[in-house]
Amino acid sequence: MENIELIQKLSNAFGVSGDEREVAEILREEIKGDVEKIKSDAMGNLIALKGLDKSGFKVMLNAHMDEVGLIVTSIDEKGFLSFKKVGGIDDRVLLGKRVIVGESKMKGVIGAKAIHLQKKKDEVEKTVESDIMTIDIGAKNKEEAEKFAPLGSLVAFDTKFEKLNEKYYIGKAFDDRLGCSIVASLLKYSFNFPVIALFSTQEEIGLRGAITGAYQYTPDMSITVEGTISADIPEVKEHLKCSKIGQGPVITIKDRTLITDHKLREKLIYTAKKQNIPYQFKQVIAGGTDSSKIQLTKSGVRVLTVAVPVRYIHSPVSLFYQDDYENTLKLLYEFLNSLKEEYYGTVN
Amino acid sequence: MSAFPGEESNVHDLIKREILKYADKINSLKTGSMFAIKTGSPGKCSIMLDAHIDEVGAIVSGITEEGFLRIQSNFIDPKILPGSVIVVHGKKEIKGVIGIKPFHLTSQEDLEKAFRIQELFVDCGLNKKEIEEIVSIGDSITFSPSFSKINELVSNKALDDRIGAYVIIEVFKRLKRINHIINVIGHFACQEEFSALGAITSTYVLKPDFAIAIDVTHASSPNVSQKHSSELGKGPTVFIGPSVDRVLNKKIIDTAQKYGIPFQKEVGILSGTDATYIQIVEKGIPVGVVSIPLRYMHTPVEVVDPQDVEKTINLLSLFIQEVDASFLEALYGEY
Amino acid sequence: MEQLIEKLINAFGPSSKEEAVKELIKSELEQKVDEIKEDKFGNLVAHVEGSGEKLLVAAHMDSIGVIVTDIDKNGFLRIGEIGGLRKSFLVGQRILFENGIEGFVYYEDKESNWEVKDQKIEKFFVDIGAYSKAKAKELVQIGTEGIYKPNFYKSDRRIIAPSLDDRIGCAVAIQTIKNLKKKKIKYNTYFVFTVQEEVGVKGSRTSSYEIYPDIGISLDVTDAGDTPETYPVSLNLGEGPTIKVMDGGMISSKYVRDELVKVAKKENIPYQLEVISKGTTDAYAMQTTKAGVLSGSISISTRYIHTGGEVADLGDVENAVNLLKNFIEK
Repeated sequence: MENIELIQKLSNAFGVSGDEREVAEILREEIKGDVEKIKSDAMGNLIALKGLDKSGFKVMLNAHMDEVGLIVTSIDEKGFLSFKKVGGIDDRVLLGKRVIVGESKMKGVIGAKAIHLQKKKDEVEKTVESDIMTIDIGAKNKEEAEKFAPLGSLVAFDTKFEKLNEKYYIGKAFDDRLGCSIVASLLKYSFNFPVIALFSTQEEIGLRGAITGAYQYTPDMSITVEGTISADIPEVKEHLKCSKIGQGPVITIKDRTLITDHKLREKLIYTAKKQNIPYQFKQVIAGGTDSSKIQLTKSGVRVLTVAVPVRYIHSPVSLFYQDDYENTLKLLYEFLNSLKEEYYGTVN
Repeated sequence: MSAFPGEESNVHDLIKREILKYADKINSLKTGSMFAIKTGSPGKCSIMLDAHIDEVGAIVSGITEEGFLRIQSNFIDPKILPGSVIVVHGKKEIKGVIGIKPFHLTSQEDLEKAFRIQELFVDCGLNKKEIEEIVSIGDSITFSPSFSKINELVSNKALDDRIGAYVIIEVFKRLKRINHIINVIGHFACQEEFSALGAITSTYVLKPDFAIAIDVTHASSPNVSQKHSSELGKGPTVFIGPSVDRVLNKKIIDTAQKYGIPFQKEVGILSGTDATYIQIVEKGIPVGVVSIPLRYMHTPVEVVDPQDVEKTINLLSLFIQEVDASFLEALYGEY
Repeated sequence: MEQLIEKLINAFGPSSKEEAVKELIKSELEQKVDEIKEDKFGNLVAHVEGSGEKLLVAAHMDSIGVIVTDIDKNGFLRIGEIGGLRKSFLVGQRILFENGIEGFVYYEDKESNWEVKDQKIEKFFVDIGAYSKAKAKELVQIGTEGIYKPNFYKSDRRIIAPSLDDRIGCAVAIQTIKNLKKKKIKYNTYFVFTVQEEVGVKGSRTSSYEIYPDIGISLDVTDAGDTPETYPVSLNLGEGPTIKVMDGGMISSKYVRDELVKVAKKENIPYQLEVISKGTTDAYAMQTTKAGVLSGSISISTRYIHTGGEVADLGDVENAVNLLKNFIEK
């Protein structure tokens, strides 16, 4: 599959909200030959500019570099780390998982009490809340733990990217390293208009990086490329599956934070139909994306959100399907290629 | 002094008097914030020290037939109100009592129910006609000042965040005797407790290059575990987390360690202070948060340790002194 | 004014699809203002020139509504919320979709088929009388928006209708423009009919940035407190428009509030001071624009906001027009 090395590098990189440097470095290396300027800002956003000599409406391509994770809040006398969640995570995916801690990249585990030791029914059937869980980095005592994992250290899931069978891939942070990979790939092409690529930070803790990035380099229209919820699994009712693996790029009409631009979306769908690219809609109003903040920059920006369907986002292991990724990339390429000055008015 | 969000100009004159001799420029903004500037040399960059001058309180939402006041508040835990003395800011300031049904007449069941704000009322000892001459719907209510020294500690209302404002004024006094290369803006913010109006609009006006918010943070007490809070007497806390700047924090901590100033670390995601909003104004600026440990936040009996306050003043003054070209380059170098 | 309100109520306009309301307002205001146009975000901006400070008056065109998220194999529609829908008042509603199709909202009644116990949007569905998925897809698509079916009723001085939030605010703005005496205009006024207020005061935020006024006033509805056994709020129908002190998102600028009170007292216009704890208006976005905009709000006390039968008093509406007109004039 095209880009597979880039996706692998991005997925394996450490980039919990607040410290996206490693991801930014990989992207910088990847795109430096394709763009005219690369900039950063106070929030750590990575911004690339291309086609500056072209006139016409400016198009922004956006994906966020950060992933959900944990942050070390206290260390007990024996060297066990307590933590808070960075971004929205279901406590129930945390027990018994491997993690990577802090700038020293120490390996650790979120310990879980052995079932043999759990009192009947009560304990076995109750969820364990994350504020009583601890991370074990094998430290002998508090001082040793503090040396390797000082207070405030960020913690990421320790999951290696791998192929799961013919066309399925598993790994962490597909939300939104897949989006980053797609935007980086699109930068290899030249379009008829100036392009601003905004690889944003702190999306998972409040869509924050996008606010300052879009303020400094304000586009006329923007597309946010995401890795979105696919809940097409057993025990989920048909109308609550949100999106399905294998059915192509997911186009958002409405989520918790915005309604996407109707005319632009019609044009996107027209492109999909014309080019025979499968597509689907995000069918549950859940989650929020950077596009909702970019939308409100200054006098307003017209926005779209398009995503690769991903199962199990915000957990240690996510899953995506090769064709969905490729079709998302293809749809965006064809759409951008066909954009003309008159896009405001008509569908084609 | 009382300043419910929106009425911060009450405090402006006092701050102005205190800081006048130590600042090169002082101004009030139409939003209710005010600022003071001390130029540095060469003064090419500026830091904004931010503390908010509004305090929590309530608003008169209705007047009953008998002359009692109904109140509304988004800031206070109603459980602390029964049995308090408060101040109503009408045409003039009058005192009132928030009283409840006597113990003798209350059923066992009711004793266990917490009061909700809509069930409480203020008794000013006046009938409807009398009170309507002084008070109208929309007038603000603040806690009655209740300063006391508890052993070595200090207690009063509104230490959140007047203590931060005090720190800024004291830092300005120290700056007179310190060489500093950056300009220092002391920002006394309005409406932090509600909409961060001051932080957002003042940052737009003043355009500082980086900022430190000076606020208060929860200190441990019974029922507030040490795991989730800081401790009185162990120095100011430095906020560590994804929404503050790494390089700025390192410099603050390095300064503390260099001069032997005790400090604590407070870890979180968003700091719950003006800094969260300042960071994302326009193109964004690096921010940090230094807080004073405080017990019983948003009650009339907030408690701080004066030693922590002194250490905070020291830390910030020395930090400003320590800011040099290489730090500024590290701060902005990445972009 | 009731005809104007009725026309506005009957126009289809959930958040992001306000075209019909826009067209109606445009036709009402043509010739009556110095300039009327749509801005970048889709807001309708009507400019009435004046030599003084810049004033922005906002009323939002969008109403709450529903959006089709799924069409099941039997032709039942699943829906999502547009704006703050009060779930307890959704089941049993007639929905009017953008293409004229109507439907009825019901719920998964296996657990209790006499009373709705579990008020979650994913348990509701809309029946549009389609007998198959294919038939339903001819009528609506995923993404089709719908509103509470318009139903205007006037009883003496009171109006019962959905979407008084905020068509009544739009009516106040329109009538004020019609009543303004050109020579007396004190402020350089921009009447902005905003879009997407219900989903995040969006139109107000972008137009405030664009216009950057000195003063901002929103026209909206606010919760009345004069129904049996209700949350104590000192706002009653018929006692005048409200001048906002504080709501769930902001504290009005004292200056704007005092100026409005001054005008009301001078012209003998009844008014009420508004203190509420939940909900906010377009003024919330104006206040934090750039260096700040002194913002306030004039609202109409309304009962049962965000249900199929909001109720307000025409006298309050007329007094609101009077108040705003006198504020803008010398």
